[in-house]
Amino acid sequence: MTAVSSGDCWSCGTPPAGRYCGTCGVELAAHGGTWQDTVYLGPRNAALYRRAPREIRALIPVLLEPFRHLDAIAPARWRNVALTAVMGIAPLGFVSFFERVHDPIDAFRVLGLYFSALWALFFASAFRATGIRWRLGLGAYFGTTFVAMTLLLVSLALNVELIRAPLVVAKNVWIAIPSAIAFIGFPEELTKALVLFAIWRFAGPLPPLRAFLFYGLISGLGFGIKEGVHYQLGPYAAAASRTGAFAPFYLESVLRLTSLPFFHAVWTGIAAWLIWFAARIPSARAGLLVLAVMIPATFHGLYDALVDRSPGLALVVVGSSIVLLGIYAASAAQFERWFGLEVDDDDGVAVPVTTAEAGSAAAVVAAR
Amino acid sequence: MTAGSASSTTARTCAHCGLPASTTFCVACGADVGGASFPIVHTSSVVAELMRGVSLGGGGAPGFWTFAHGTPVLGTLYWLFWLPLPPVSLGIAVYLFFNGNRIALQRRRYRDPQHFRDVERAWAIAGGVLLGPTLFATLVWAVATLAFLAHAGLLK
Repeated sequence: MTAVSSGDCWSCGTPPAGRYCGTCGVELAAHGGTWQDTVYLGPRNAALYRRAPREIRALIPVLLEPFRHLDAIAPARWRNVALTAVMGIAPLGFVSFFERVHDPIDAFRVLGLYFSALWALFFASAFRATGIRWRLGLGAYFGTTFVAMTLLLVSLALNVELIRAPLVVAKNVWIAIPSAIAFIGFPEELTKALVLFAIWRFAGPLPPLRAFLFYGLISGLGFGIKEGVHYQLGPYAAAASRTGAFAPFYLESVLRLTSLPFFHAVWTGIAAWLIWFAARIPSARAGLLVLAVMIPATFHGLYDALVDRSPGLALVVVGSSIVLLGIYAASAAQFERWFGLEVDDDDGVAVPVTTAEAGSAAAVVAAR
Repeated sequence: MTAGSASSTTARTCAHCGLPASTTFCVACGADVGGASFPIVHTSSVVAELMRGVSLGGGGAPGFWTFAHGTPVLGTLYWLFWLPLPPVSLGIAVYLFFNGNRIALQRRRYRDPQHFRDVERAWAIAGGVLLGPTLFATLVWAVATLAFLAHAGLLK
């Protein structure tokens, strides 16, 4: 190689200021004076077994450097790393443990809890919920699964099941749909909303809207997962062992841990959104509370009535409910302005309104 | 080559050699701000254009092309695996088909880009001639191996 002591850098063209280029770091004297200088590695240096050890020696200090600054990593980042590790490892740990102790029943339950945690993390991230109290979140989940669902089961046992059974499976769709809304949607959505009423009345100051929405999603999630595990261990397992068809069992089980709990969560999320505004606006409380139960109940009942008759239409129904929740969640701040409330999170859309228009909706409601 | 300007950073002490530095890389030792020496080589446009192309010589005649382009280890591996594990040799051929030009430019000197094109065109002809027979021989070998395994009852 011929050394050059003057002229621009052979790699990037920067004027030289020393032995090495200050912009790209190449050794200026390494220039061989040929058109291949930017890529030619030399007759001996190109071999992998020569390059790799030399480069690894140079890389090791750099790769070890972060371990000297562990305290510079923010606690939130550590929490995310730990959560990611736990969520990735947990299923293997659970399955290994429950296989060893020959306890598949509890394995189904624990995996249901695992999927609940997975969904909860997704909701917290997707809806960018702030001000969440995890204790309240756990309360929403277990309050629904243990208390509210027990109340629902008691109600069903007190002849509600007897009355609704022939109606919701009626062949006539005009009987089945209203029956599903009245006897499935309404009681189940009311059940999931109970914990939200409890948070509103007994959990101190009303949480911020996004946090309340999160509690609603978690309440619905708890209902969906508990119901799903019940179906897995009961009717699905019985059908699989009777017929030997395990593919439907597997596929239905997956649905019971993924889409169906998600649908429940979305419907309760809509309820939470409306209940939050009901709590903040006494003059519109009755209307908002009726809507908080009836809108999710209608979606729920329509979905249940249509899913076996017309799956496409059922998907349209549930898709509409997801879009509705998304639009309402994104427009939360705007609704707060329209109702004359203080905006607790101004993220999302903001429709330009005049000062006179702002709060006019609240004024109209108050005047009635 | 692209003309650049010296990127200035705030005055600091080089983490590697301890001398004052005010550029991204220390002009005295070549270390970056963290003290590591990994220069950023800017590939010239003509080299970049050549590297984007595929190498029919490398892909079609890997057993010979490698020894003429400074990669005897890869060539030896190609021949070693050709009989016992043909997929490995085919993998090497595919790798060289897409990366042969870069490897050639990294490991072999050419007078100028035209010389590179002339040499590699000759290898492309050789590769094109050898590609068909090589694939055919590999296929025959694979079928023969499968037939032998089936005959021996090792395949179910």
